[in-house]
Amino acid sequence: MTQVIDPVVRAGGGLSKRVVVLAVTAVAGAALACGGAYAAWTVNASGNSAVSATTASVTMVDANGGAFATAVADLVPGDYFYRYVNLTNTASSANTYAGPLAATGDLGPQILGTVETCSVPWTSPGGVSTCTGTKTTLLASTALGGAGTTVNYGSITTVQHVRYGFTFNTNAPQTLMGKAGTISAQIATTLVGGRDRTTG
Amino acid sequence: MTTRRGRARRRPLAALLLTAATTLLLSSTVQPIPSPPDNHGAGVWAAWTATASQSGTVTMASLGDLFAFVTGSGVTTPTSFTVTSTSTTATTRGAATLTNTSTIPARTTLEWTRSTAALAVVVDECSAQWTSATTCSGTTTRIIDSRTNNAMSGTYTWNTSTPVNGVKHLRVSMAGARGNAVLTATNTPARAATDRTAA
Repeated sequence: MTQVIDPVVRAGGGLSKRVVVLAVTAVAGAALACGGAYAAWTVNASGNSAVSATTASVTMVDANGGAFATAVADLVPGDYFYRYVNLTNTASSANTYAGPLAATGDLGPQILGTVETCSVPWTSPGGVSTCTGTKTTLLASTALGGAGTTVNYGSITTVQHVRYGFTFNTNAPQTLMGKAGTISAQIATTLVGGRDRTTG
Repeated sequence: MTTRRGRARRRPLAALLLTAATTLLLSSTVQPIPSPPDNHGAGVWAAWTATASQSGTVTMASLGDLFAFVTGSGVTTPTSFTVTSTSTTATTRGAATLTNTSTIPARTTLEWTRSTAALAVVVDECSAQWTSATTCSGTTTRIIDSRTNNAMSGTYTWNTSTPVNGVKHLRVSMAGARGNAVLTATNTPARAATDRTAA
């Protein structure tokens, strides 16, 4: 007797087998994914780099003979004088500096100030202060009375050679005879974090 | 043609396949990696500061002078010397010193006035102290004579500066009328404005 096989049934039977194989494979995969004891192959990599906190430090040292601490007495209207300092950034990185230049006391309102920098140290050949490098004016002649005026020194990497000029008003009233005042310069930098330092 | 039996056999297989696929899908779902905080402290950071400063004092010069009576007639105040004549015939004389009390050398200007045109007024300077109203212990220089241009007032300015605390020895003589003569003085800086860097 010849057995007639329903081609559809046969075909269906083949499909079912494939489905079974797939299912078994999937179940096996799921089982592998879900748990069990396996050999562990481990690859490790690590990286490290040093980090350090910055330092904020600056000095303001007399230079070229004109020292702030040297008092100037017996000013008469129109008298002028210079004070020289080296602003040295002793911090661990270049920073931007600014600060007030002020004149206080009775003479404060009568004192005008200028600020200039020189790319090389100021010299005084023959008593005349000279910049043999590049001279930059940071502050044109400005009355310094009261709180003074803020001078922006910009970014200082190492040293900035600064000359402060002070002029006693040519029209200073006679009522100021014998009066005194104080001149002062201050620089400061403020380091605030929050910067993206990813690149160093 | 599909038989009912065939379809019935495939249903559990399909369900099993769906379950396995779902399991695999769930097990391989990518979990989100936590991202680092992006507020970095919410914008408030401690500020580190570095400061440096320098300061110095400045003082304005003071200018002044002082009269002091020496001998003869006359009255001084710190700022003036007044000699009064009470006779129309006699000569009245008085001596005083004028000291530069400025803090710097000064150029001194002497101003004089007289009360009446009939009163002749002469001012002499002695290189040293007037020992009496008539005697100069040094040399005498006439610096003012109202008869020169018959003015009622005038000035005389010394050509040279007077050092700090320098003294001028003055004598006023007058005659011809009753009245008075008054001397006052003004000091100005002997030097021009200059560079004081070296103080």
